[in-house]
Amino acid sequence: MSTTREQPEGHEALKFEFTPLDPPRPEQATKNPMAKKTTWLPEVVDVLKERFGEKVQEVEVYAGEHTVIVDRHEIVEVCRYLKESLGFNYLADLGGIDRFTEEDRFEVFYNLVSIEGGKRLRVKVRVDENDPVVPSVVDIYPAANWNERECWDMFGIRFKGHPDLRRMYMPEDFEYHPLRKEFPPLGIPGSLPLPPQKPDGEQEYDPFARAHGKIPEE
Amino acid sequence: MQNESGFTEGGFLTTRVDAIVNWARSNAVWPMPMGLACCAIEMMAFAGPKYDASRFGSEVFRFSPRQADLMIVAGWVSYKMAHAIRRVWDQMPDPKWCIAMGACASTGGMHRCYGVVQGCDNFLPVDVYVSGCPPRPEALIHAVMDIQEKIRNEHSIRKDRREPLIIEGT
Amino acid sequence: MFWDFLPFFVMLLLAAGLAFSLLKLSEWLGPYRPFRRKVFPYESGMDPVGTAHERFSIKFYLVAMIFVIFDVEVVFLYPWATSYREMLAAGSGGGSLVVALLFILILAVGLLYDIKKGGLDWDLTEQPPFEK
Repeated sequence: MSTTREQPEGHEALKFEFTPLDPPRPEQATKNPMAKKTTWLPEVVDVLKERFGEKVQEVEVYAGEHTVIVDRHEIVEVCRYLKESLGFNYLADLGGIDRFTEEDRFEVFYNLVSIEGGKRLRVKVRVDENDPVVPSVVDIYPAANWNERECWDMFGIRFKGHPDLRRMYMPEDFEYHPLRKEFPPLGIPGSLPLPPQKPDGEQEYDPFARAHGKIPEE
Repeated sequence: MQNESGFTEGGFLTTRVDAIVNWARSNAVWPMPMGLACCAIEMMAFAGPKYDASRFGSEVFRFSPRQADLMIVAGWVSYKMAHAIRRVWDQMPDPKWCIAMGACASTGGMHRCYGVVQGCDNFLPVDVYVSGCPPRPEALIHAVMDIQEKIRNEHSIRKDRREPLIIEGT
Repeated sequence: MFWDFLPFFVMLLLAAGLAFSLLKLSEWLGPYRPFRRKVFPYESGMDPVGTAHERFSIKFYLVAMIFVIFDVEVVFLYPWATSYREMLAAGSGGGSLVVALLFILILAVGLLYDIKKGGLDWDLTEQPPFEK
């Protein structure tokens, strides 16, 4: 990327350049000084497209990394094919993304690594808010167990076929999913119980008084 | 205050006994380190040979609440851990004091989020706050010396009498 | 005779006085404010798991018992050992040695029996299978 890029003026100057809605610039596809050869996998993407056809919905190339977006009902088949035939035997990470769009609000990403081949591929699955169910890949990658639990806890995406889907970080009776974009960063006052402030168990001072509509006494 | 014979408020006897008792208590402050996060490392340094804690009487860091009289909350407190900390605090025998060490124990610090209690004074009666992220061991020494001064200025005999007393505002 | 033991009585007084003052001073001068959560058993801030009545392994009892028996044997051998020189001088050293060795032999047979029966086995050879 050139260092003498001209700066846009006016309200354009405030626009953040790398939101997904921007059309990707051609040099973003290949020019990344940090990209290693491990993430540039056009041959793997071609094999996937050949094998699965239209179920591979999209392929994103950004900063020298390939991301394959797959139909969510086929994720188990895709993962099995990647693990058994193409040698991506290590699931490095699994998680959720909240894009906050009208359609296909969430995404679940799978970072797959082929250790012997030295390849890293990202597989993504788009999930709609009204039907947030994704088949679980625990049978193929047992490491996905806790990551899928975290995804359920933080986003509310259910994984069908998961042996033990319960909350990971928040208490079991927590009513919200914290990493959704509408959840405030400081949390909902009163949603997590605080211990009592007096020896006999009363909580006489409410730390969230303003949120509960009372001005705290000074 | 009720006027009982023998230990009347402000009498010569009570202040002398107070002075002795407070001197003894302030020079033998045994901390219970509630080392939750990075501040615990600085607390360990405070206990180490260079910033010696034992020269202030804090010879031993008692990890059992029954044997300690100062709780140093070092690190951020999550909502889950808050209940355990409160219970440990309740299990410390009186007289007891509390130091909130570092920004996270005092106000939540850099963790302005839903999982971290924004200051352990939401459920603990803190005596001294130490700022810093993490505070240097010298800052913690200053805090312990502040606690010692606080102890020396207490009316121990009047406060610690065994028959139930109605105390306004403790 | 009393004044010969005066230092002892002084020390007795000091020890009793120290114990008394350590307990009673903190009782009289210190606070006492018990409430339910304070006197609850300490388990690192959590609710206690299980009871405090643990069952002990039998091996401690066996080893202690065997120790007591052989310790008594040694106690019986001490007077014999201290008076052995005089017995030697009086000429009956050989006989007393034989008697003492006979005594030790009888108890050694008992020790051998105990070892073979597994009374001193500290690590049990037949462990229950490790279950998760």
